[in-house]
Amino acid sequence: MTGAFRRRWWAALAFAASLAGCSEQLTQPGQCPELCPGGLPQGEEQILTALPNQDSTFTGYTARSSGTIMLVGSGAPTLADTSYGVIVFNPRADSVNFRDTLRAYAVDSVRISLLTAHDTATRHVLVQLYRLPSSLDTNALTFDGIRPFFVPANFIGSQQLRDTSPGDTVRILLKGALLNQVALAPADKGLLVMGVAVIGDTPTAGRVGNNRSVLPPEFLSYLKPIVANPATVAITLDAKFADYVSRQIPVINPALLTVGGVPSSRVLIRFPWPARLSDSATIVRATLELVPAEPVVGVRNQTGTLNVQGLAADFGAKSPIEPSSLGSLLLPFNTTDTIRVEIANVVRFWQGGLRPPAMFLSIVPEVETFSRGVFGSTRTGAPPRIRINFLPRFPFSEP
Amino acid sequence: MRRLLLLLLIAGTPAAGAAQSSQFGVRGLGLPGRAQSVRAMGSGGAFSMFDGQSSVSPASLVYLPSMTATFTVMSDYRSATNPAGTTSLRDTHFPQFAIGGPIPHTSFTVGFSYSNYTTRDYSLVFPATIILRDAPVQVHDTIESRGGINDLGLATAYRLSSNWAVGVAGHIITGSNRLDISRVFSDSNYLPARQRAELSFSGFGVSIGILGQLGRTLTVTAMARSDGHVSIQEDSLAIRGEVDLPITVGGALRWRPTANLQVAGQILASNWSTGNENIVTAGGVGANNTVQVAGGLELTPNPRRPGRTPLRLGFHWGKLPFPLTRGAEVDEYGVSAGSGYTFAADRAGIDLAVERVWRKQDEQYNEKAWLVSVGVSVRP
Repeated sequence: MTGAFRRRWWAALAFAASLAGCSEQLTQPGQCPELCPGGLPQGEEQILTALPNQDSTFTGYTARSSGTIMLVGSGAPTLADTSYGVIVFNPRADSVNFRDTLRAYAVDSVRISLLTAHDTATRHVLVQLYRLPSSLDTNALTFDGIRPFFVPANFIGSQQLRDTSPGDTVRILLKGALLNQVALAPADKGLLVMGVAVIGDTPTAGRVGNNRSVLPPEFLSYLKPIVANPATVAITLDAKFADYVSRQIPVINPALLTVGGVPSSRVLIRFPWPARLSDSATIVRATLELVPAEPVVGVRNQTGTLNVQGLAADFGAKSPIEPSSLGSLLLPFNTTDTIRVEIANVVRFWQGGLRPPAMFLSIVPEVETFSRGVFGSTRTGAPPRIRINFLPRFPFSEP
Repeated sequence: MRRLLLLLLIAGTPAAGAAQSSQFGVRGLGLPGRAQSVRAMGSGGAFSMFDGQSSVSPASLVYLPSMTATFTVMSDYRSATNPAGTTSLRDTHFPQFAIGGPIPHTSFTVGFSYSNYTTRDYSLVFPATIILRDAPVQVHDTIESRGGINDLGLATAYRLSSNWAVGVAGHIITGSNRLDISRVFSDSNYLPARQRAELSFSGFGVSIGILGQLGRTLTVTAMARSDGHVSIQEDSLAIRGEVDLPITVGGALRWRPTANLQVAGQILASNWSTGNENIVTAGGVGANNTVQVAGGLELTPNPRRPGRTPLRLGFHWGKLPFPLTRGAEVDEYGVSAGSGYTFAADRAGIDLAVERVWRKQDEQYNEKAWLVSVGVSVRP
């Protein structure tokens, strides 16, 4: 073979190899029924209603003491509601160590800091601080027991929150005559006990960080030791107790389904699961429909999220949750419309018998939101239901 | 170096096992393959019953002078038109593999071949608006299919005399077809849906052939093949469907007026309509009988080295078995040209064929395709 021939045939081989490696483009528009063996996928719809008496409320999953905030408000979440926060700071000693000697001091100024979040739909929201007796029994707090102390005579100070800012750090600085409101008498044993109220132009509420929050309440004192040429000594005290009391404590109606609240309530619902959905169908949409039995409780712009999670196994109220099955909805405020949550990612787990056809409803963050929903049940004639759109198994073997 | 290049070429061949894609392979069992080597394709398939590297007639194995392995790569550049529009398409396949040769000191030749029986390679999209929950929702459906039915043939030919030979072959009909439908919605509340299935095919067929030389210049051959039926199973379901496969009969004539020139004509007829009832019962459109006619010539510059740069020309015409609408007929016709080159003392060769193919059903459905095929043959 001559060199020219060899080159030519190598070129031919390269051409052949390039043909072999050609990319594929097989997609073309189709025309039914001529080019649709088996036809096109036909969608179907099925409505599943909760099994009778298999929908229940269970309360006590997350205790109030696990929360990181205090729910404080006036006329919110309902007009009849008012809640006050109570904060007890760690005791402040009656002397400070200055130049290696414990010395008495005079208070120059104090600053009280709180982390807050509020409803931006309300204007001129004020966080108010009131002095409470240091002898307050925090183990027996009641709304009626502390309400008399929220009077002008006990007023420590307040700060208006910015209307547009959903989160703020309140810092109230007290100097001069204002220090009298936080003066600690010997009978106080160094304890500053303080009440927190949130008010606005209209009924409103806010969330105030408690002693478990990222920025817990802080009582900062600037002290001047009683000595010649004193310098300022700062002492920071954290809260040793922070909780709140409410005028109303909702009562759970066992005939209805209650989700949210403090302590947290969850709803367990079991559904029938028809054979035609069990494995070969493909679920494209599933919507849980809940009919509110009363307007959804909450605070505007502070709504909680309604979570719907499937169960990993059905052991009743203590069932473990399938972590990757979740449908969620920001719970609308004050609505009586049917609540609809997309839960296709929940019910898909029910196919093939992998998970039981049951779900838990909860509102997150639990015990840290004003949102609370009360929905109809199978006992009240407005049962939860799931509207499912699915594609049945395609007839692949149709030629 | 040549061996290395050949190995690279073989290794680079895609693993697809189909001959060519077509919208006329969407219905029924798909688009039938032609079981031809590139050498036969270059002349329209007219010489396929005289070509030991093709799998049409088992008697043709006697033309293998020694153990020969043949690989075929086909690229398909296609323009397909239907009422939904016209689209340019392309794909590459591996439609034919054959190995065979004479058994020394006997009159027998044996061969094994892998051929495409039918192809179901397509991908169709269907945009639509449907009503869901009393509201219009735009959807986009895609139906995809890959695979088809393959024919594994084990054949033997026996030389009765210097002028006559017969052959017989058994065919295992096997293969799988991966199907996939998907639907996406314009409304994000609806999740994309996808369903898949795999159809498995199994069957058995036999073929016979006879070949005779009449005088110095004329050769005739005839073949018959019966494939019984193919069983179809979807995934691992217990339900198994069946479709009757055709009996095919054919004949061909080759005339060699000079040492440099040979011309041939071939006709094949298949009663695909035997599966019509099965297909219609299963919800399909149906099946028609087919006839395939081919004519071609091969001009050899050097009769002593027939594999070196021959010129092959040919045409073919035929019917396709699976129409898109009931009662319709699908025509296919094409013209082709090809050549080849052998080297290493004729122990290796490359063949090239280019075909222009037209397929048509009514006025609404047609296709035009360039089929470029490369065959590599090795005689170890």
